[in-house]
Amino acid sequence: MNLSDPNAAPRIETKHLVLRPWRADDFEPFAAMMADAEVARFLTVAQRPEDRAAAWREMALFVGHWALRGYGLFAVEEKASGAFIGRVGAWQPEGWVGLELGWAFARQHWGRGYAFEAAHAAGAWVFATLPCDRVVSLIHNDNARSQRLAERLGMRRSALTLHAGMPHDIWELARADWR
Amino acid sequence: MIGPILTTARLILRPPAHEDFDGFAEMATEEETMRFIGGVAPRDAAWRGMASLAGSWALLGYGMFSVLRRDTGEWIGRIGPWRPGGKEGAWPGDEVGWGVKASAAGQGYAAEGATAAIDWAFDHLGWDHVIHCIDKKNAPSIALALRLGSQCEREDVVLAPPFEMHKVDLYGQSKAAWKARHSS
Repeated sequence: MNLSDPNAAPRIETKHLVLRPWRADDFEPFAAMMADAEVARFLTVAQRPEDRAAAWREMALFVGHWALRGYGLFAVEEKASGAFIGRVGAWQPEGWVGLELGWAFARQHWGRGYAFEAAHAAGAWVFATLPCDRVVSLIHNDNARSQRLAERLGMRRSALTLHAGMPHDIWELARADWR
Repeated sequence: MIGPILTTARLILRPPAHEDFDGFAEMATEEETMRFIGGVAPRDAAWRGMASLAGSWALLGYGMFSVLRRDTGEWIGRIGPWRPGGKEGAWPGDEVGWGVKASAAGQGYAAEGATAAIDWAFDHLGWDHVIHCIDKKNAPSIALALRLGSQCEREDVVLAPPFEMHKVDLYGQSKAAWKARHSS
């Protein structure tokens, strides 16, 4: 039986952050993040903020992804405050375009380099742990912030695709190009 | 391990695992089976639904079980404790729900699995009451709820999103009533 325990997901420390397993008490800050129209704009179907019930199901989906795949998205915590600030990691639900390196952060934590710090640590973990040739990131056409982050990570824009009815670029990065 | 393994005369109940996916995906396409439990869904949505059940186990310590036949190992459905969001969520109570794929329906599996799940929930989750959210037109599920000893307690309850378009009747019973009937 292939069954991992999401609560036993690894813990990765960076200079300012901890990437760690999800906890039930991440729900309030996660729901607040997903209720923010600016955050939801490039993350949710119809670009709408999520209500609490949808946010809980999404969080359960992230956690369940670990159980079914053995890898997934980490909760990200700011070391100095202990606050939950976002999520980052490997994402490949059924039917996805590839193994995605994904990220999302609460708006009050934007602009401090945290997303790069977390995504870089998650990328290093992905290539060290998973037998993949490349990672992809699915980024909305208008999401300039995430496009800049993808560039900074060394990703290249490849195919344009329609995701949730909206134009997204598939950014990709081969294992050989990771640094 | 994110949850227990329960056995009954004919069934194994355990948290969902990756190998169950084809079963989940097949059941999700069965119109009759899914009619009152969220509707049919494509494979990607079925995967997400299954992952959410596994995530519930890890976050809350309970969630629906995958149900397998002991004799063949075949996945036949998902049954068990379900309360998305936990106590603070918008779900109308502590539910034990069930869904069995068409080829396994009508053989008493849902009753057998639900009985084991209710026993486990009362013994391990501190629940003092259990509910089942059932569509008024879902006659087989109503019959099963009554067979389990539950009664209709509230009608026309609006469910939490994403099911806010659906009204259900709440069937249920207390732990005391369940124990009085089932302790031997």
